[in-house]
Amino acid sequence: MTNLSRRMLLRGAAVLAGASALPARAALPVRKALALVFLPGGFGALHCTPQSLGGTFGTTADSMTPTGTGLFVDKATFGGFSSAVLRQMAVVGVDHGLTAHSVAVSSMFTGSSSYPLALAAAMQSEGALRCALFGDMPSSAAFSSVAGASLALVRDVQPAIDIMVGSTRAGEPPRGAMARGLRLSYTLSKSMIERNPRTLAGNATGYDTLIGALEKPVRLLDWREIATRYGLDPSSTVVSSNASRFAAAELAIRGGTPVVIVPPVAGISCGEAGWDTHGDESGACVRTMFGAQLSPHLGRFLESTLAMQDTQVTTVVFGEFSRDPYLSDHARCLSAAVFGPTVKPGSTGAAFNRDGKLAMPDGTPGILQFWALLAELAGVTSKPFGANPHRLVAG
Amino acid sequence: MTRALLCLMIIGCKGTIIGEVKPLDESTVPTPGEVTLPVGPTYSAAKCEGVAALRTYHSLTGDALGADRANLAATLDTRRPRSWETVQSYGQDLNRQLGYYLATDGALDLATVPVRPMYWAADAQLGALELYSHFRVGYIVCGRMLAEPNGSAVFMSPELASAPTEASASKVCHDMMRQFWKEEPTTEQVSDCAAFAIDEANVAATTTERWALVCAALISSTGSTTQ
Repeated sequence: MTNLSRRMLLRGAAVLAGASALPARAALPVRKALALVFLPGGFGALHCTPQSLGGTFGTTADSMTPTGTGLFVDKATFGGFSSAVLRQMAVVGVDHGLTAHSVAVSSMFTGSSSYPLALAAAMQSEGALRCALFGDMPSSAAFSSVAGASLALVRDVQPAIDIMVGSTRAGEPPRGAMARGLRLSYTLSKSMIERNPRTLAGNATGYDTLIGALEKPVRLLDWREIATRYGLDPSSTVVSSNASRFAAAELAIRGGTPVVIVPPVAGISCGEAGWDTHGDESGACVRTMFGAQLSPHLGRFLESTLAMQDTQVTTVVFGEFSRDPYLSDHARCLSAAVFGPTVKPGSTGAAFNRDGKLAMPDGTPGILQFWALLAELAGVTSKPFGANPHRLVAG
Repeated sequence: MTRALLCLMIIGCKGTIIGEVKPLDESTVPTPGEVTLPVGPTYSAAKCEGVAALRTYHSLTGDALGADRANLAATLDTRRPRSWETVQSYGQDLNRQLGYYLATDGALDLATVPVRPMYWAADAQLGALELYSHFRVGYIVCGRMLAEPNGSAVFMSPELASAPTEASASKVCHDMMRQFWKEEPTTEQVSDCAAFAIDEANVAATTTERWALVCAALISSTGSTTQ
């Protein structure tokens, strides 16, 4: 379904018009959300910690810009973000020692269970989608469902809009009756779900979250406004471009989804495919690619999500590793950029050049500690990944 | 049964194969993590009782590979979501289930959601988005079929012309489940479905809409969405 009906648009406008009758925003409970912007192939340290790279990757005094909090970012890529965004940024280091794509991706996302799904389940959201993915992830990132969260691969936001906002197209099932019908469907399915605990693992969560969402009042969401802001055709709901990925992710967060994953495509290549920028020692190619394909949309997303009053959104930009100064090869560690209202500006990931290899300061934590930081920023108190050693959380 | 025997022979198990002789004795099965064991009275399990004789393999660091492997009953995880390719061609799929060819209605665009997994080896999901779409398509298509006086759906019956009663609901529920699931529903399942069909909460809807809700609920159940 790529086109919104006129009736639905009118309904959306009516819903928005009624918003003024709602209680003040400050009275609403503040939700938490986490956006994972993952660059398959790698995310260079030059973007978020250029000052520690010692002139490698073409870093000079002119190539970077201060954030106003003691950090510097690459002028051509992150430099376009507003000062309000940059002031809420920190750099987190991960020293995992892995240089193979598949192993690093797998380790970054999956331990005994999927880290994003475990986190989404721990966040105890009421959203219909607990963890939404807007694009393709490497196959080594396994997303086996956990109790309370399954992955929703979103190629078209229309069904999500229907669930969250409600559909008024003619002939559609009534919302309340649909919830009751799905309860029957769930009842009839339970014995089969129990006999297929792995292959149908996400089915129970799907029923629970969908029925729960349908039984709640519709949310005030306006896809047309969001899509327009990202420069998209508002009548289209297909998720296929980087702009639509970020727009859809914002819609999902506004609709109550606690964890969204956005894997932006590179469009062009520097060396190998996508963000695997082999041979780009000067960083010129990745700067061009990042600036053209990602910066504008990521910037809009950060601006919008950091300004939300009812949801505290943390966004982390990372890859499975960063790049080595020598030939821009695979590094054994990574510097990730974290943005959020509860992020304390600072750095635990000031990567530097050690004989052509990217290195981290001694004692830089590993992967689980990275997720422990994200869990704390997401308001999870149960410490599903252990203690967070990164002192990057405000307050 | 033959398939289960073959699998167990391949992995070198020397134990006794017991299948369809006695019900699964849960007390003899090691706790497989958080996996729920099967409980249906109609299911028995072939299982290997010679676990100690299994050949073990070790990694380069000496770890016993497969040490954490769960000894699961053979009846677990035999159903999987219907593949994207199957569901995507909704016309054929509904043709099989409903006796109705969606393409002839020009309604193929209804089947928007079945989301193709990222990789060929990945199973289709049955999360909130997919369930919503299965129900929605079921409701719309069933409603159209029921509205046709000479409907050709295989589950069409005279009972569908009137609002559901306890008797008609039981019959229609049974027939629909049998048709969609390709297996016999239990008495309890028929009873649950019939109770929904005659539920006063749906009384405001038209006769067609009430039956369409029943139809959609069954179309979105795992008996229909998995294989």
